[in-house]
Amino acid sequence: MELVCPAGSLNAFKVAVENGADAVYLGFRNETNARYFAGLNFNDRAAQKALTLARSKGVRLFVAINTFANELNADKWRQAADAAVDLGADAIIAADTAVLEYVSQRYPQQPLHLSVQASATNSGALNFYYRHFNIRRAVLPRVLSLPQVEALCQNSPVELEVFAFGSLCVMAEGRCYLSSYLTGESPNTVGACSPARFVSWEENNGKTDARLNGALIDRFEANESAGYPTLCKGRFHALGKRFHALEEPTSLNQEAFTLDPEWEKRLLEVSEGSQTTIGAYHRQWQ
Amino acid sequence: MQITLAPIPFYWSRDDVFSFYQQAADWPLDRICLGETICSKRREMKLEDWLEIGRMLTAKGKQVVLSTLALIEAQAELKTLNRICQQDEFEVEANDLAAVEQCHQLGKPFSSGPYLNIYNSTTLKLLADDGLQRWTLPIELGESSLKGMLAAIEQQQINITTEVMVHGYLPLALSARCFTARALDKPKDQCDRICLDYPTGIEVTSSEQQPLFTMNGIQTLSGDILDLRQQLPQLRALGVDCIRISPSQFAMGQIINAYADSHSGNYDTPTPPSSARSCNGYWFDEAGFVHHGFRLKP
Repeated sequence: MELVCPAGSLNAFKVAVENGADAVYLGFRNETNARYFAGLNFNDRAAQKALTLARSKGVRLFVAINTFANELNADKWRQAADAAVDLGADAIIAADTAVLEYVSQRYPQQPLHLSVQASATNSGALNFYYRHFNIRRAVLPRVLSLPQVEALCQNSPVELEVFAFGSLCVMAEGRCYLSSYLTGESPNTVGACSPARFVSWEENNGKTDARLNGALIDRFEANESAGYPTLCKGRFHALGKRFHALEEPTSLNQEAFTLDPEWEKRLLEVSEGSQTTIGAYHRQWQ
Repeated sequence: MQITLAPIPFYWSRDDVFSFYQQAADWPLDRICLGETICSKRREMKLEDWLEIGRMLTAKGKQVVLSTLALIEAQAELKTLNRICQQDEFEVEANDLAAVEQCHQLGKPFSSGPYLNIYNSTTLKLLADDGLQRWTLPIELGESSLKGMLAAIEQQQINITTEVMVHGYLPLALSARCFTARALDKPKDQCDRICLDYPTGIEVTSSEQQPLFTMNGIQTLSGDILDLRQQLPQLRALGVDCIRISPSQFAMGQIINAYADSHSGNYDTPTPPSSARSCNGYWFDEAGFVHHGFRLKP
């Protein structure tokens, strides 16, 4: 099994390489990847440095180009694909059919991985991508239970990658428009969910209101830490009660391995809301 | 422009579904999409029931389409999909690439609902080569993207019909989790098919009573209802072939009649009220929940 790790900066890339990642993936500094946040990601020079680092340690480098190319400026996605190939990426992680087709036709030798953002949750969808683009691997959306992942392993035409730790997407990735409904920008179109430029925190009678484009996502008491208003993790009203109607602030952490308590502690420190869940892998979460 | 009635997104009893389509047979609609697209636990209607309704509607002059599940996770769901794709009476509407793949393998032309991520003409062309004959614009795209797509369709001579959703709750997200069961403290596997009790979903508001979302089992719908009736002249001028109305309540007759009236140039009356207030922000490349009121009359 290969351990794959994302890196948002050269420093993070270095840490991943030095701490046991078999492959590290990065994105360029624009909306062609699904983690397009201010201050994150790589320009050409940083990507080149990351590659040198990876090669020196025998670690593979992937490039994520996993948002959806807009008809009006699709060139940007093709340029990102050209840059990833020029760099010498060991794989390009893509979601949009246009990106997959461009790479598979122009660079038939370039290994392609299907991004989680493509939302392929079954063997039929995987067969579609394999038939058209000869993908080598697919990253599974965080909506399948472990038995479903197991069944898919038996029926998949390609090798599969699953999430073990990280942010918990409650919705099927690539098929969630909650963010654009409230802000006009979504992971598919601009590579960001609940973008920071729409976020505000306001003090209000000793409470803190966290808003996204004006909509109240959560109201924190003085003794609560006011978290980032990721819109699916807010407290809303339904059926006459106020609760985390979709999901609590939490990160994904599988339970397939027994963790050193010290590691567990460090994972919790970087988890949303300082807590983790095994998410959809466990039927009870669903 | 044709008018399509999208599948019922909610879980209604078998009697209600039959009664709804008895009425729909007399509404000014060209196409009607039937079937369960959200949750495979919703078993009030069997495939045979949908076929029976389909035959009744065909006899009334409607074009009938069988729509398919949007989020396919289990082998059993793939088998159900296969049964739908195998039948020869009605066209199939794909809401997942699994359906595209099956239709392609069977050599069967198909259409697509709003759940396929078609953001560019390369994707459209590739799917058209696989047998796609009609596509629906992704809900988060607006006028400028639609213009670009229609221009590309013409330029590349892609033989395809373009449909745009104009009314109904926007299908915003799909999850493994059943939000309705969870809100009612029920495990998903013992949900008692509780969605039957919420025929227009469960309203989710902010702590300031702003309607944000609507829970519909594993689906999250918009809190407000899309209404693009005032934009019909632009849709027509752009060359859109068909508009799509999604059932947001049992009584859809007045809403559908209002849209049909607009075909003959009558925009004077507002769209009749539905189960929530309306929005149209996506059309203007803005947040979906934004609502621009009456603009200049066409």
